[in-house]
Amino acid sequence: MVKSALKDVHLSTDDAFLKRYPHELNMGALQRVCIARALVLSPSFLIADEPTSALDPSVQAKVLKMLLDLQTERGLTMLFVSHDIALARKISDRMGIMLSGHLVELGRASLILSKPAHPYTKMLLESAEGIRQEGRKMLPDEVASKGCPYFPRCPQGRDICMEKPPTLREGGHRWVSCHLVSE
Amino acid sequence: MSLKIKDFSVVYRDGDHSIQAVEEATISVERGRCLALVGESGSGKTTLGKACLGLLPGNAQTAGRIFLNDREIDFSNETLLNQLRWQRISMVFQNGAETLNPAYRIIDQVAEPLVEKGGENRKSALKRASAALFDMGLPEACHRRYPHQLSGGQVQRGLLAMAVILEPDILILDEPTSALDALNKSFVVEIIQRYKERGKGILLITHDLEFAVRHGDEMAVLYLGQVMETLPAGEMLSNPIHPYTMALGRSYPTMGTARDLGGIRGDAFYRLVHQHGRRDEAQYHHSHIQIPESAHANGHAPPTGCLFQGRCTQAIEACKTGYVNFEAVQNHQVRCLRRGIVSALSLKGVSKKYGNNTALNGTDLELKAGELLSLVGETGSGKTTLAMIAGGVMAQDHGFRTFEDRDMDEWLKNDMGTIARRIGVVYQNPAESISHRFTCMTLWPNP
Repeated sequence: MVKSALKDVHLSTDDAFLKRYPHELNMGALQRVCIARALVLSPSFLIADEPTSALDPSVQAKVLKMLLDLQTERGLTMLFVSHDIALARKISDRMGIMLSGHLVELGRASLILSKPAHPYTKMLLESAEGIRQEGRKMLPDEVASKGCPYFPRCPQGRDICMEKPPTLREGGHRWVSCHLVSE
Repeated sequence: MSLKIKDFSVVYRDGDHSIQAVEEATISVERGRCLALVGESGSGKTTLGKACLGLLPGNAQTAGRIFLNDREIDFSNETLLNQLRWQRISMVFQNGAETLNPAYRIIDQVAEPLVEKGGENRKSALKRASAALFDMGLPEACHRRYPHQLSGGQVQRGLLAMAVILEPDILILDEPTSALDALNKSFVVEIIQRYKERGKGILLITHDLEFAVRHGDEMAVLYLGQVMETLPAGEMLSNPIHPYTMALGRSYPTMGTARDLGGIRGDAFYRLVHQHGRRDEAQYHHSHIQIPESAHANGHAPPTGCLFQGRCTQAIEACKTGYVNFEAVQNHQVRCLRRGIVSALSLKGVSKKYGNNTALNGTDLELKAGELLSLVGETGSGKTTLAMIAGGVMAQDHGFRTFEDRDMDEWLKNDMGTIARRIGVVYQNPAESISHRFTCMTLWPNP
């Protein structure tokens, strides 16, 4: 069982490897051990917090492919935490964008990526594509205490954004929390 | 002007084997609406389309009824059927080039229904046919060509012109876009729009999900001859309720996204029905699903249970035997014992504070089984906190959480073992999340 779990994440299954301690492994191998460990009991729900940030791209691709295969074969449900929107777009059915403890946008990944509604999502996408944020107020990261959490950095901020926190509302097959999105 | 198909079944007989092509399908095309019929090959889409015109081959056995404008179509009356075909209901067939007569010029074929059914004289018929072809973007130089001298897309557009020339009430389009590039698709779109505006009905048979979602109003998802779900077409990708609908949506490549393709596990080709016993004795039927590996994969069992259960990732014991109703769930009609995709996790108004620092602020989140949701945001936005609360690793200050429709906090308190087995967690920092005293081998018995 252990060996097949290790094979799933493309790790060696020989005895020498099985006897190693965590400090004898490199970070990539260790990360894969953690993933194999989470999957060994065949859970129905997997929570992965930045599971591939320590992996090099080729192994990352393999591990993600494996997770997606599990989704097709066993119907594994997954909650995937990542700061890398480029990576998330490759695997997600749905996507939630978080800011200061709030979900600011939630919906089908393809929709959010092709037509982001919240200004923060737009900013994230632009920075992922390497577009420089010129002309934007890069204020310190302070969180507005009563208004919208994105107000200090929002290029379209209005008075209402400063005074009242927006709520997550449904519109156009997604949920957005922004005063400026009227739909 | 509407087309209603009620409890319609079609069996293709072939000796003592037969193929169950459609089973108790109920769909309707309403006035001014476009119903998109989707499903894998072999699911019975084309059979249903042909059935509306009474064009099924001789070995087809049918049951059920079809209504045109609320009047039942009498398929035994060939004279009436002939009046109905092309004038009231017309169809653009899938294998375009084969349905045209190779010995006649395209313009003659488009004009033929006008002469034969509309009673027009040949000269004015040719004039109207020419205008219709021109409407479809075929230049006049093409009109006098024979089918083999035209490209696939031109043939398809010629067929469209032919199907609408008598302005029928109902238009059935069978894979109208499969031979067309993006630009040529606009001709199909135009016809769909025009028909909808005039209060006519369209049955759009397609496996092009993106096209179906964009131009259909309602959608019916067919699997091995059964309608698995009917839903507003716009919700096909954003709110599927049947597991099959979700899996089908995930298999389709869309523009501008992103996600790598996921498929549906297993295969299904068609359903065979065996008949045992002599004709004068009590006969019994049993059916099985034809798959590549073996003809008798699910044995000689009587046809019970859900057809999709072998490939479904959330199937339970009851799905193998129980009778599956076609029932309303939200605003859809769904054929699923579990009433659609089950909920995996639900968070309601969950919040968490570390001292004075709010990490999570009254968040709602819903995850369906088999779904992958990613949380994206900058460091310190509360992603990990939310994930750890979802995984039962951490408790929330306020709010309510359920896992697989059970109160998660209650479950954690009473039966930590079973819930821990069902949730796997990969932590952020691998070096800190496992004990340094274990080797790779001994790590596993101790999660």
